[in-house]
Amino acid sequence: MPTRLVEIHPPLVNASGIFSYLDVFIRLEREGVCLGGFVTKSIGPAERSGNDNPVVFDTGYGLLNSLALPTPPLEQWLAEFEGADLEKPVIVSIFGFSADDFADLVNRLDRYALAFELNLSCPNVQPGEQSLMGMLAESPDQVGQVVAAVRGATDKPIIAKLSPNTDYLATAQAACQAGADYLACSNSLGPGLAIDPGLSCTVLPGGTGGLTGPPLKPISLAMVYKLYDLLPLPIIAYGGVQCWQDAVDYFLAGASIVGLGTCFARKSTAEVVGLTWDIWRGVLEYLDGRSLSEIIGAGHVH
Amino acid sequence: MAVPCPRLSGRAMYTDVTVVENRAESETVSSLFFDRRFKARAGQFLMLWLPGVGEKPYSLSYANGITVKKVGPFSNALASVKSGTRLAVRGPLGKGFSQMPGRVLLIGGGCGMAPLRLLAQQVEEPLILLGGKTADDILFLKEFQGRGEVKITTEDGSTGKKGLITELLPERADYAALCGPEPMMAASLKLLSQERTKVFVALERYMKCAMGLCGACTCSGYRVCVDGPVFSAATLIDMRDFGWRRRAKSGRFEPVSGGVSCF
Repeated sequence: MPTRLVEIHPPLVNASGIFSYLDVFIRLEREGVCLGGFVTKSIGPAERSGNDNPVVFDTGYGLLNSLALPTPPLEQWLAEFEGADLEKPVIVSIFGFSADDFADLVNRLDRYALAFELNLSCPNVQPGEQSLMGMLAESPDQVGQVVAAVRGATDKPIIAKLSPNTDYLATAQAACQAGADYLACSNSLGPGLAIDPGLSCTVLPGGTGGLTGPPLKPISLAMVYKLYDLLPLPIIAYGGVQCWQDAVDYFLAGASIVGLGTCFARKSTAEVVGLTWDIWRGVLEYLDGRSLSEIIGAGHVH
Repeated sequence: MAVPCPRLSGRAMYTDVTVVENRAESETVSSLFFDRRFKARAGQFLMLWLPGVGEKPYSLSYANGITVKKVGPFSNALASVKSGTRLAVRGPLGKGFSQMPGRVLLIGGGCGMAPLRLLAQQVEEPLILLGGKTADDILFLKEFQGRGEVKITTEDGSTGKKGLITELLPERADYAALCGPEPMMAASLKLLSQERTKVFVALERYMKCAMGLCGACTCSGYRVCVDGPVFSAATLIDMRDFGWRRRAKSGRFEPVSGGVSCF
């Protein structure tokens, strides 16, 4: 099956919702960050404020978040893209409440995107406005409709970002059949809940949020591993990468690109840049002269 | 050698504190004192969570307290908490003011006087310039006077010299620290850059995660929660948004002087 390739080097990106905006990407690029490209926060059809604080909770072993898709007006995104002095390519993450929403966003944003990542699986939408969003990843039919609508609107690579909380094999198959070029595993796990013992109440708005960081890694690694066997699509891996060993695990399981997120918590710009170099240098040292393609999927020894 | 994997932090995010005093500083401003002291540089902040209301950043004005101006639902609720109320805080967070040896100019407007109050305790012989709309805006006056010479301007002339704080500038000093409304800080920075003064500025932005991840508080690509909130003039030159615009809760740009849209 012919696939549109997402060509970035090194094959490392930030995860969507981390750093979020083009001005942060520009800053990181100028400071020499070792990422091959950037992924925007999920851009929606209309301005949204998202949840009230607190929107993150550090469990000590991973983060819960419930931002609930804040996004500036689309017109502002377009102005920010127009003015952005950025050399590295940008993967544009989008969300919507219908297949038409996704297709409209792709039409407006097409010229700025190296590829589109479809957020099919945000767990943090409000009751009463969930319509498609809440159930999207749970319904392979609807995922197929969204991917098909986007396929009709762009020739750029389409990345279907999957949820670990659903029957992701069925969802991935539907996305593949509808014309997706890449799978991304995974969005946050859960929902999970946090309680403050001193105040005897839950912390996040509505109580729950999606879990990211080290606890997500073995789950996401299993998704990458299974999907690599099941489907012919290349995979972008997200979930709990803290260091080069984690990135190597994902490549061995079958990922072509690895995303980083929670590992950047509490890090200044210079520290973020340093961590990306530590991770990539560790991968190169592991490769020891081999090309990356030699190890992608090489962990599949039965 | 490749860098080894870090251990998990395993630490609690919030510290629970009890309010031991709510002191009115003026009609619209209150200081809350907690049952514990924080080891912090002036300019560092706490994320202060009021269950059911929200969570917002506040600079430490005291080693054991913060100062709140009533401007919206959160600050109104916070300013009216009673002694004995329990709150959850995280921090001190961010980068505060560095050591500033020699002659130091402290320039404060409005609620910027809060971090400046703590800073005045951490520098030798400061010259302190305070500006407000009226006499009511001039906070901590006795404490500032106990630390060094104080000059005041008010827009209505109700105390000090009538006019803007920028009319007291330039002033010669080795260092200057600016805390206050961003248009005031941008104008002051321009006047000070004519002198050989090393200037530091404390920025305010809408914060969400306050751990450098979400990007909500960016100012021209610097994440204010981890790269700041205190920045040097050398960095500010690189920030087109300084004195111009900030992101609102959705990420929409609005002018720093208030207003609707700006992009």
